[in-house]
Amino acid sequence: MSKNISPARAALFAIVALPLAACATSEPINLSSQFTPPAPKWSPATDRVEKNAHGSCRMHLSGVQDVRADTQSMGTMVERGVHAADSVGWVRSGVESLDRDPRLSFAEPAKVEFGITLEKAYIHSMGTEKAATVVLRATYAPNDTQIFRGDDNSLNWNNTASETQEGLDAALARALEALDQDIVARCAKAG
Amino acid sequence: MRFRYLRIFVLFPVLFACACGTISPYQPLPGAAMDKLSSTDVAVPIAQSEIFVFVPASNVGAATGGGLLGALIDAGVNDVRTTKANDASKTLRDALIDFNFDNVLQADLKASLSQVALLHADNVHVIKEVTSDNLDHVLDASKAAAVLFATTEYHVSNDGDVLSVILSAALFPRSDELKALVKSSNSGPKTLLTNALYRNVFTFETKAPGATGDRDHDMAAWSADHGAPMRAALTMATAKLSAMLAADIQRPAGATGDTGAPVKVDERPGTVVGSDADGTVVRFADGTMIFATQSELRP
Repeated sequence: MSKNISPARAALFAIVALPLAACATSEPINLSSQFTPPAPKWSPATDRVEKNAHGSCRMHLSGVQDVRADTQSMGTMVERGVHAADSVGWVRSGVESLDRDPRLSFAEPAKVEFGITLEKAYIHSMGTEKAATVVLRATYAPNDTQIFRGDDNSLNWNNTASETQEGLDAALARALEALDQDIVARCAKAG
Repeated sequence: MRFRYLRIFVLFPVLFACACGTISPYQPLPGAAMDKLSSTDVAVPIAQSEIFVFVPASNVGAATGGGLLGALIDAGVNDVRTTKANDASKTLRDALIDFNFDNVLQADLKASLSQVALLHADNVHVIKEVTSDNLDHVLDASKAAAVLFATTEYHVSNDGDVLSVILSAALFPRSDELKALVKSSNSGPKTLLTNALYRNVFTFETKAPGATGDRDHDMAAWSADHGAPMRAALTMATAKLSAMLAADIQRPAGATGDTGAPVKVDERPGTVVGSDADGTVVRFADGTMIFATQSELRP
């Protein structure tokens, strides 16, 4: 005798079982090499208008380096290793997004020139939480460096690749916000 | 309320569960293995990249009757606590940005374990991806007769006053003659602690200078002078833990009980097995050990 499964039961199974299956996997999480801002805080369309109205602070990015001992490991989410094949590309795409700020643009002659090193980048699950951190060091001159830290804590819903990427993107975005403010201040000083 | 005595491995829940749930955390090295360790690789899994504040898990939800609603409440409470703890530790983490804990521990383990003649230890290397799959891969890839894992975690207590560094050591066989000495499980990861020839847990604890239990105050104390107090404490911790592991792994399986003075650490009774100008080494009844600076001890 066959037993029919109602659509409601099937849906309940999907809701409960599929996330559990995702949690149980040990498949590594491979991160994108592209930074995606977590929220439309900077709106390129409207920013361009403001940029034209206010002019811009011209800056030059001399390079991006990852100085961590293991440039591929970005932490663990339960039993899933988090890997970045191109951490430098990820950070570079984030730094290049700074020109979404209407006050900033990558153009010559630059008022502010800087290089970026990735000092820390990791995400870990802790109980029901996941905590991501990104630390950047901006070098404006050999004796002029500044640290910028971005942290993001949020619920670990399902241990998925997408929420892991979002957590690290959010942490990088916070570090970039601080870098943005520093560059704007330096531009103002440079006149 | 203190949670230090739990000896929680926040980032390695699987290892912790194995150590405290079903098996004894201490397993002496069998005498028969001592002359068969022709070579030993030393792997040092350190999942974290920076120090963190240990945040005790919320159980507020249980008070509301548990269930899904309780779980959601706990998740929310944990989220707030973790965010506050991370904010509180930001200054300390910035102060330690150029302090490489991994390298310091690696160097100390290399120095201490190279003095243990029976191990023939070499190739001490840090592992950042601490998952069962990767640890099994490291074990499988080794050409040595055995692999000694020294899984390490370091954090400050929720109050910010106490630094804890926890090293969980486990020696796994690779050669056939060593494999014959341990009854390995055929299921689960190869690096389950039940498959180890030798295992023990070592802890280092010390307090912040002038600790008060107020997190902001204690974080400032640790962070002062470019993090000098924390740098000194972490450097001391790696040296003490490496020395304790080197001594303990040579301890004969049939060693009789320690005869030192009784002492309590975090309300746990133990026996003093050594001391120096920095503090005291205590062995607990379950075989695990702690190095506690004087501020952590009481008769």
